Amino acid sequence: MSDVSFAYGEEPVLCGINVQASALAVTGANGSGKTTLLKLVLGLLRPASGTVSAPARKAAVFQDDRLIEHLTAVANVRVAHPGKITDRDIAAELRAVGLPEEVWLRPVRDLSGGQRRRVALARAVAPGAELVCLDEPFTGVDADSLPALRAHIRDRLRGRDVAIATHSEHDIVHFGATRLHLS
Amino acid sequence: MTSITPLERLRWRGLFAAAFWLAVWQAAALLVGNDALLASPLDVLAAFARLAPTAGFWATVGYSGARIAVGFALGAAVGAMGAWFASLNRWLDALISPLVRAIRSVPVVCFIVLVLIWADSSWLSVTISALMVGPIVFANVEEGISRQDPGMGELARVFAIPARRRWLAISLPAVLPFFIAACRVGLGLAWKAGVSAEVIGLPDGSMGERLYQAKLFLATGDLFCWTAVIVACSFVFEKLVLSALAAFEVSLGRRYSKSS
Repeated sequence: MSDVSFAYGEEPVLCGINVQASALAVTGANGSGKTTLLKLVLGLLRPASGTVSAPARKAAVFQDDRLIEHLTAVANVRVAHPGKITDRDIAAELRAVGLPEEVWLRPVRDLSGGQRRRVALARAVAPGAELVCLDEPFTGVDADSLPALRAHIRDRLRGRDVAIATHSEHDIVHFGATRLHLS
Repeated sequence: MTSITPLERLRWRGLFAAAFWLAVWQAAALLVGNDALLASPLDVLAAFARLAPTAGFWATVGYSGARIAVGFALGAAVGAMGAWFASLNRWLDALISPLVRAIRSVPVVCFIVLVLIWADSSWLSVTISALMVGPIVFANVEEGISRQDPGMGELARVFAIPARRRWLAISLPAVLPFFIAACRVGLGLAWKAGVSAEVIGLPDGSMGERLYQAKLFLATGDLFCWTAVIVACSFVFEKLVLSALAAFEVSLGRRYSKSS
């Protein structure tokens, strides 16, 4: 990301951002532009000036899960996968994020907030993407299972580029990320 | 002692209501005392028993039924495609939407006369059913498209979901409930408008023609019998189409749950 600026209409959000990292942690108060920065990285927004270079194959955990509500957890992972993915691979991903097997074939609209988050995480870390953006990825996950889940996500993303928007120091340390604080 | 379940209670209540109104109808027919003015339920049953075993009866049901079904399918398909085209581009929307509004506003009888001038009366129920259903489907599908979550578009872009998969997994399921709601309304309307058009245009061998003949000969029993047959056909057609659409909706939800 080189000298990137962005504005919503007349209101500047990001000014002159310069950062290069394979693991980037974006921190800052609410409304400071963390999600906007991730959207720029994902190519969903175009910078007003400057350049953003990122790998072509991307995945993300959006702030709002953004699951396909009528589809099952399994189908949500499969649909987002760029190529063919086997049932066994999907099962492994869902099991690893701690989603109970009995809900795998339920429409995700029937799942709890924490379960939905796990589906979104499984979808994002499934193999295929070279860059994964995580927008407050562990929101709604219970404190007991959080350390194991965080460790699993870190392991799955090893060797790939990661951008994470977070308020948690644990996330930054765990992912060994370069911090970019937005004010 | 066995207790009655709520479902059984509901059925008994329905049976009681039907029996009550049949009794009222029978009493009214007895009071009027003229089956040319008001046929009794027994007269209607007798008319049905006389008509049903004949090949002509079933040919008539098939004639109107097939044409109304084709008209409905045509209207639904054109309405849905029109809405899709209109959603692609504002210019296309500006071209298509006023045409649909015009079709909705014009009295159906004007179309009936126009079809009778332009084409053979055998096309009447197809055309009129299509014209009744098309605008309803157009409006609902357009609404469904406009209400699609823009976030799903971002999701598809980020994960580079191929167009066909995106259509089957995201776009179609989002619009389908709106399409089904339009069909629910359009199915009954197709039958009502289709048969009404036949009564005016009198295509040979149609239900509308039989209704007209019943009026000519003051055969109220036949008139009520054909009315009941039309309602039954409309009901069965509605159930069939809505069941097929519901099954399709379920199959879309299950899609991608198993590797193909």
